[in-house]
Amino acid sequence: MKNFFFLFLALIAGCANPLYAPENDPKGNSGQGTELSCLAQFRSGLCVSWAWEKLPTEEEFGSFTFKLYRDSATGKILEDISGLSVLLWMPGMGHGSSPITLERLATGSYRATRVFFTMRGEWEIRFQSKEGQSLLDQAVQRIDF
Amino acid sequence: MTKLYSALISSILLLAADYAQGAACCGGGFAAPSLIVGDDRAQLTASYAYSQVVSDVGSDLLWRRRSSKETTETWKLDAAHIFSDQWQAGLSAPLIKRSRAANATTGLGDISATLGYEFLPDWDFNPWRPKGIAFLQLTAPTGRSIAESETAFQLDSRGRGFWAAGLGTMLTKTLGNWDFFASIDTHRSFAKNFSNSQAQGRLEPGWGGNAGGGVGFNFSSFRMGGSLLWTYEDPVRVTGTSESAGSVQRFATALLSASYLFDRFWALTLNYSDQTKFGKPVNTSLGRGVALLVQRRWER
Repeated sequence: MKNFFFLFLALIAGCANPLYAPENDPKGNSGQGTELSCLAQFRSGLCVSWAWEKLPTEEEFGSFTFKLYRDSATGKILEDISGLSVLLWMPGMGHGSSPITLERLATGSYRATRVFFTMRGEWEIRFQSKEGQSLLDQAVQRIDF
Repeated sequence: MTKLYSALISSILLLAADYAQGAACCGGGFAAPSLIVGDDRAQLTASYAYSQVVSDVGSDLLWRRRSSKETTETWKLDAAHIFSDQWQAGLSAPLIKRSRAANATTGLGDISATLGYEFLPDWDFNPWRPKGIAFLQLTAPTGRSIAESETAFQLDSRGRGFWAAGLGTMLTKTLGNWDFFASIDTHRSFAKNFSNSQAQGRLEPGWGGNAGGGVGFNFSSFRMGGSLLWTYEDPVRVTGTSESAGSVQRFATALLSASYLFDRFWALTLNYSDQTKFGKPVNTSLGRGVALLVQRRWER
């Protein structure tokens, strides 16, 4: 009987004690879509301005548009980057989400669809320039989903 | 009585592994050994498990409730056979269906093979000394890892997706109408290259392990029991087009079970599992589920 008592105590001591995260607003991470603002930046200096078109939910894909531009003496110049891809990554857990589909709208202007976060938490949108399997440059935008 | 408890203890261990698949967000669960813990010559177990993710826990230890439905159904065959007095071999093959938001994929999970040795026999029915079985386990990456996923919601990730080798032991004992078991194992998962349409690189997992125990009360042909299994996995380091140091994964699976031995060779078990009640989970999805298991045994 004494053994059962200690076993019971051990089980109680091992009970989970959940601490729930506050609700996040992923909208707060994005731009407004009309003005160019440098929300993330490649090492080369190229800026990423982006805005949600449709926020993803736990069951539905979302989409966003983004523009790549560089500041110059004459203003902000849109430009493309070679081997562009966009990856969703959950840095704390060390895994990504399902692949995103990219559509080029005009020079330096793109739409990302099938955007989905596997679970709530801290994510990164990684805008990448790749050559084959080599990463050339990257701009990272943190997201609280 | 011994027949009943030995049949059912192995059932409980097998099902605990099925529920561990609830953590598939972050690499899935590790397969449980397919072992004969009684005095039988062979056993074949068919099981169906249904679990639903209820919360995700990040590496920040914060819990986040799921408002959408993600389910995992597992159909599994476990077979084990004695090939000498103290040696046995087993095989476990799961078929897994993962569903979310009207999408679903079905395919093989990780298949595992087990070699067991009864290092502590109980031939003289010692009143206190337990029976002990040591085992080696080899897991094949037939369930895709989360890094290799290509489908929406990553539903095609049905396992850890690594070759792994493990070593463990299980101790069992009956005292009157009560039965007890304890098990512990460790395994090493091996690095591999990966690629999908968006990322390429190398995955470097590490060590992992399970430790658990349980107790059951037997009356007539029935057994009621409970068990608790803690699971740990080292971080999976990712190098390549996306770099990540990863995060440890940890969770505990509690099981309540009711079993019935409806003749000398057949047993039926119904289980309820919950991963939200114990431990300090991190980097995992937590689920609750039910499972039904039918076991056929052949005497020596």
